[in-house]
Amino acid sequence: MKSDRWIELSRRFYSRLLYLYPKEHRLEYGPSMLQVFTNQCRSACQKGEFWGLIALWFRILPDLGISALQEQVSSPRSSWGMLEAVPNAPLPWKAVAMVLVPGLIFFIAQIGQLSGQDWFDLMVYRAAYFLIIPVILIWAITRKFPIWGLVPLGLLFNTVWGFGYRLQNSMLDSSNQIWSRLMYLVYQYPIVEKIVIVAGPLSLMIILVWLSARRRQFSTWAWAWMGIYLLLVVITMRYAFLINLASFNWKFYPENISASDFYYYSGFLLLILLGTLLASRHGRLVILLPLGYLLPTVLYGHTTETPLFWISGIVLVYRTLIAVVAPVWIVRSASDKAIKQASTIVVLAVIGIQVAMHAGEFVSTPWQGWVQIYSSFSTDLLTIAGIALALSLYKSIVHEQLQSDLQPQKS
Amino acid sequence: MTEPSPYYRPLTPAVYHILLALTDGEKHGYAIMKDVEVQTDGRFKMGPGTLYGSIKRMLAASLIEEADERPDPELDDERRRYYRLTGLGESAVSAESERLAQALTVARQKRALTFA
Repeated sequence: MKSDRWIELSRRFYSRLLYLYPKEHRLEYGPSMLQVFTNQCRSACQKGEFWGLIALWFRILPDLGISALQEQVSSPRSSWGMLEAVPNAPLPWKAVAMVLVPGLIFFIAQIGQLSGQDWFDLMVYRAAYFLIIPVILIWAITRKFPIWGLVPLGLLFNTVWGFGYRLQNSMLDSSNQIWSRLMYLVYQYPIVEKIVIVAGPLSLMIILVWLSARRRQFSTWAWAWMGIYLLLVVITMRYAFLINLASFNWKFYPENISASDFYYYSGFLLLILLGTLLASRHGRLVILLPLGYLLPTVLYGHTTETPLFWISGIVLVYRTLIAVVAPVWIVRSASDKAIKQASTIVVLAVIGIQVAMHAGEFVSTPWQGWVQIYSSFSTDLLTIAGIALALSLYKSIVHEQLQSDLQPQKS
Repeated sequence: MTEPSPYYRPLTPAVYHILLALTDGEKHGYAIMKDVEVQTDGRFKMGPGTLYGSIKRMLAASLIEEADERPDPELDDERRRYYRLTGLGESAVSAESERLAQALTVARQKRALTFA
């Protein structure tokens, strides 16, 4: 009689705990789970009365916690869901909110930048670090990469580049013992610097290209754009060589190769290649990944040399549109055509405004020949080539995926 | 050339034991759970969360299906839901068992088992 009361109490408590599961899972399997649990309670009471029930609860609670979390993050309609890009259907509002978070933080940081405060970099980079944590957790639990993780991943890449740049230019905090020892190692042995700055991204890039090419994900256009991109990187890195060419000096100076440029451009390329591994799941939405990289870098806004406050205001409005409106527009676009249209317009706006800004710089400085033209627009050319490479890669993968989806299922 | 079935990859312990439990015939959730305990000498005890999470994914992957009829409606609770293996589920459990048997043979050859 006494054990029946304990069983009933446990039953009631367990039925309340079932609310931890997503609604649709609870409605579908809740009664069965409760029934199984009741059977387990009866069995536990037969074996060890009250203490048997306590032992059962110790076993049930971790199972319930882990499985509820797993169901929450893997269900597209659950309150924590949003792992899958449901074709031709808007994503849940929380997915959109998660895509918005980096944009909102970015927007707030902009106000600080306009008022001359120097916490912009810190804010954006730290945000990237923290935003990637839930993405990695979900990947670890479900082995699925959430769609809203694409923007934080892009920001994380930018952060890694920022770290590489600071490492190379001794800008890391020297009061930190770990950094100071690391920097000592790096500058004492130049080969370490080359390994850190050049060999790391290069080997990752080779692995990613090999992985992608092995799965036949490279179309002719993708190979062409990759060739153009790499050519532009080589020319930009060998800027000193370019100047020598202009003065008919054909001697090669390997020490003039800029490792930080390599790090910067290979970081962008790595991100695009990483997108190829995610494109089959997220389709053209992987364009959010390079976009997340571009957001904090595309324009520099207010500087002490530019007293024109209204220019900074325009830049702020533009950045807000790109950071806050664009991700929502892309993610919430219901049809494939609308997603493509939204992505293309956003990317073209980013590139167009960046080119216009550099054109302004070019016009305001005295004419120094074609080397100056190239140096003014080298970043824009690389961005255009990189985005074109991303679009051609993702397009072919999405097309391939669509073809395989349309094929009849084999029994 | 036909593509190999995606279920020729290793299965998770929960999925494998559930499939193994259903090789005897249709079972409801609690019966599956008890069968798994017997299979593993009580070393692998699933909670209702893991059990029904796995069942949901296995239904989605067409490894199992829900049975329409109760084995004996007179003796059984009508709210209970029974599950049975599909053709794909049968081939998945068979492929996984072969993979484990092969691994066991290698382990014996390498004297990796404690009783070897």
